[in-house]
Amino acid sequence: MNVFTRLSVRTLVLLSTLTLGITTLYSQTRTIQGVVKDAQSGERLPNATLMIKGTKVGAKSNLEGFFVLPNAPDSQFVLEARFVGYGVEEVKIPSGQKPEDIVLELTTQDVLLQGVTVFAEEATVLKTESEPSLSTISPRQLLTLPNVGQPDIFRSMQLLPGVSGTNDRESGLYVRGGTPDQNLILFDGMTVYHVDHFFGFFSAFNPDAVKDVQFYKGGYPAEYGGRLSSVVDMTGKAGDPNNLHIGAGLNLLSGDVNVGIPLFGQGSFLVAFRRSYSDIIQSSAYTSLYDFLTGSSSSTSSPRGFGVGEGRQRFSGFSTQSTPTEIFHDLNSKLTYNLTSHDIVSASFYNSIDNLDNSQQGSTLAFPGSNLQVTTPPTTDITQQGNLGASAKWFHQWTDRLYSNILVATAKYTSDYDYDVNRTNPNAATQNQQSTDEQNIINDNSFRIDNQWILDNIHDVSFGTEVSRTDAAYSLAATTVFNQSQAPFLDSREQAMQTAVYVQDKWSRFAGTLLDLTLGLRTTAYTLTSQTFWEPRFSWRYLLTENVSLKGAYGVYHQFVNRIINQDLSQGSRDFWVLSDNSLQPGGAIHYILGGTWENQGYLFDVEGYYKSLDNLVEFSQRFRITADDLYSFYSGSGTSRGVELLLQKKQGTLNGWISYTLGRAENVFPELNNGNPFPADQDQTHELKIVGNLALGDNWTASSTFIFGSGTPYTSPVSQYAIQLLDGSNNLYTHVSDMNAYRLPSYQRLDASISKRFGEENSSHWLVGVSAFNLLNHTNIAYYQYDLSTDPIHVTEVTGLGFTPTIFVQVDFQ
Amino acid sequence: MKKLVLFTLPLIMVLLQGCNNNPVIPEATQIVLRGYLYANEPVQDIEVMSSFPLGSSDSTNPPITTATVALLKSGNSYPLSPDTARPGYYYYQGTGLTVNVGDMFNIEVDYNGQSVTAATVVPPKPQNVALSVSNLHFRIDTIQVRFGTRISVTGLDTAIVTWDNPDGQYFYVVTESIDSTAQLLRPDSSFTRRFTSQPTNENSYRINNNSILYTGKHVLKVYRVNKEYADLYRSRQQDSRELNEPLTNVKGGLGIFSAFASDSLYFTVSLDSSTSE
Repeated sequence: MNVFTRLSVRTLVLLSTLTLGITTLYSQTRTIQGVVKDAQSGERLPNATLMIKGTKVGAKSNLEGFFVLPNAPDSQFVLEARFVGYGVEEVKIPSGQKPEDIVLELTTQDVLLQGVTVFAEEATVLKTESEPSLSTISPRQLLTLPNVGQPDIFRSMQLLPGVSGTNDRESGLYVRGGTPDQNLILFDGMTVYHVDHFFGFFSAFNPDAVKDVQFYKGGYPAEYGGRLSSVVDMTGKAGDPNNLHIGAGLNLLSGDVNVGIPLFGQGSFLVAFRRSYSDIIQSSAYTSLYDFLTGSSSSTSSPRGFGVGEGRQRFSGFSTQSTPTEIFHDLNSKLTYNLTSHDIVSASFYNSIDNLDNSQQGSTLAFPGSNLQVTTPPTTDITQQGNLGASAKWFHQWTDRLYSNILVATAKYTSDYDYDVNRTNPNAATQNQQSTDEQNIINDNSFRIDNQWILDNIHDVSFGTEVSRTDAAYSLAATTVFNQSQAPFLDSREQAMQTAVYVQDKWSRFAGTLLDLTLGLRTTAYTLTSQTFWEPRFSWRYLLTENVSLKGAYGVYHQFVNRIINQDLSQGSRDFWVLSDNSLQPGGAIHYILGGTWENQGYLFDVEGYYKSLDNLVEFSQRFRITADDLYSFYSGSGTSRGVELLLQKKQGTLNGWISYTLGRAENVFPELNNGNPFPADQDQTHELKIVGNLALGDNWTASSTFIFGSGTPYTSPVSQYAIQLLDGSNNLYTHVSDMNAYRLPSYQRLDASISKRFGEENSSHWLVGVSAFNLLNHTNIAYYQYDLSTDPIHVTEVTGLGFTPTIFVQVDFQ
Repeated sequence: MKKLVLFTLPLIMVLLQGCNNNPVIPEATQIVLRGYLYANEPVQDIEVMSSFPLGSSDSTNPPITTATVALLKSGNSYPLSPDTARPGYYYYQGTGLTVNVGDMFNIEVDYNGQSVTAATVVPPKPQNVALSVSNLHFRIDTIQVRFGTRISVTGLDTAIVTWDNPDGQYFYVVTESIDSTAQLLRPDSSFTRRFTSQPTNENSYRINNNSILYTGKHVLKVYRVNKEYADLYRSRQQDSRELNEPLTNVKGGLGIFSAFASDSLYFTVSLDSSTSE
């Protein structure tokens, strides 16, 4: 046999062996399925990551905690389960036939700190997922972060890059230059419109009632629709089917209680209630806070002189500081029951109420060394807002690879605003009578079916449909110089249906490469405009090395309900919701995302750039008018938002946390506003730096700190006066307002810190006690200015965020 | 790592403490233009002013006397000269510029790095202007009252001027005494020789007898008003909360630039008097 022949034979044998081996390997697979749970509470954990140890082969648990690993190897392997805020759990899967359903029980890290042995740890509070722009938040671990009396889910998301953290007066999320109404906020399938409590310092979501938070900052997949910016999908806790749990918490501003009642080992009923108590008992800390907020002890009325004329100083204005009072409560309840091993039914209820009082007493301010006095009138300014919602869901497992969820949900948002002030005004062209009565109601009812079909270890297909009906009513009655009637001059009532269908394939290892693709398409028919919208969605992740990956996303999005900002330079802007129609076309956005991640066991460095183009944005103004007869006008425009985010995270260890930085720009163009010139969006913020640190001090003590710095956000200001003499000889004096958002507020800074200790026995009570300080350095952050131009000199009120506020908190869980 | 973080953080915070600016009310001035063109009349009613600070107690705009002002018509530029007798006013010094019905005018004002433009079209003059009476009679009565006498001036005629207005356009009416030898009717009146009405979109106007101060010959002019002036007038009130400003056709600045065309009539005012107790 010559050399060539020997070589050919060897090659042939090698190829045959390889082929046979591959074929054998491929045919020797099995399907592994199971459920992921909390070891202490028995809660099923959604979106947990399952991974075959030493490989990149894995899956995620669905909302009911079920997971499937199709085509798992037939040989023995170790299966890892990870969930943010929990220790990593491993289970050895023996070789051979398909095992019984696997139950993986994960232990929370706070329990781990008490001495339970673990093999490794997952990220403590925040996990950046492999999908572009997706983060998972651990509500349980939020307790360790500094807070102003309440751990808060949305406040913690504001610590992420790309999410503005400098809005003390609003816990809504400004994500990548977008506005809060552009975020789809879901709680157990219910759409939530109002997310603020307590001047916006807290969100309207009780962390004790939330099990999991999935946060898409952009490029979100086809199963979601109806918003232009981001998705916050929260899953409520279901409770422990085997044990009674009672928890309570108290701090200097509010109290909360939660009870989980087991139902025959097959389900549970959970109730969580939270309420502020400042209307009942005013603690010394609250009194100090109240005095600070209302300015009764710290009001500064300082002349703001500018310009020197004719040899004397002119006092052109003075300022005071003012902040409102607030009472709130929220209630969550959820019933969950396993009808069969393949069927889970649940019903969830949610209610939140806010009563905000920004009324001001009249006052007379005297200027030292002069006879000058300025009187400010008493003002009534009361807002009541709330959410009310319920949902019912049936989960069914058809096969080990096919699941369905059927959901019916209803949600109602209400807002009622009452404002009244009377003052004299020497200015003939500027009128005095001001009263406003504003009401807004949204009813959102939906039915949806979501299906997940895991074809194999390459294709994970989702498809479904959603039908929803939205009713929106808004009325505005305002007494102005143009309208002395109390009857509404803006009264809108509309209803619309949306029907959406989507399909999506998560394609792993595309063409045998290290590229994971998610291809999706969503289509929505909207009745008010008789249009059908096609929304392709595409995301990808490419594994360059074991630690380095590239990622990107592209998507088209539309929005059919708008939050309109009613700009009010003198009193602060307000908002209301209306439906898109033929005059206010549905908004549209296109997302482009590109980034990369370096990650190992302990550290993560993530860079992500984004660009969003938006159209059919809506502005509402009573200041700008198209015709002289208008009392208000709606304007349509477009915008862009672009930026880059950096995140450096230490995920584990006694010291962990992250540093994030965002460089961004959000700009709008409205042809009929600002002379058609581009202007910074209200939420535009060029720089934002956040530093978050958690330090385990030993003996179950934890210290944590957050620092936020943001460059100033834009604002519009009155800048000058001018007179116009008409042909009939009358001379009218006017206040001129600057170009839109031509100026910047001072930069924002805030340092928060807290220290806490956990103690308790296993299977008994667990306590968390701590002290927290909000705005530890008492930095004055100005939220906006209010102007009273009827006084001479002009009265400017600097409306500030919260100053230094210490609080003590206690949280206890019994089981 | 811990030491690095614990050291760096306070340093960053100290450095960032300096990143503060704190304007309360920004100062900015704008050019205020009040420009009126009248058909068949010379260009002499262009006024350029400046806005003034919010804290100022002034109520009139400071005049701008050194602006570069030009009217553009049919592609030609006509520079205006400052009127030294009336600070802030600009007029056309030459003879080559006329204001005719149908002419389109642009105005450009440059001052201190700011540029302002506006455009208007000279409207057609009112059609079929007519006055119901050509002679208004007034009676002056000297009335005895408790502590002396009082003069009472009573108009004996109702004068109504009419014109065609099928489309509901805007017009205004000016009445002016042009008799230099006229007798003063109302010594204590606040009106002047020239009285301008508010714009109206009707087709008639009743002369306000209280606005007649003198006997003798008067001219009555009915002016056709453009949309920009009508918008300005109708949006002239500002709410202190909304801070809405009057509609303006001036780009890059404030105010109004508009044109008018008129038709004139004449009437006389005569009187008799009596005394009553």
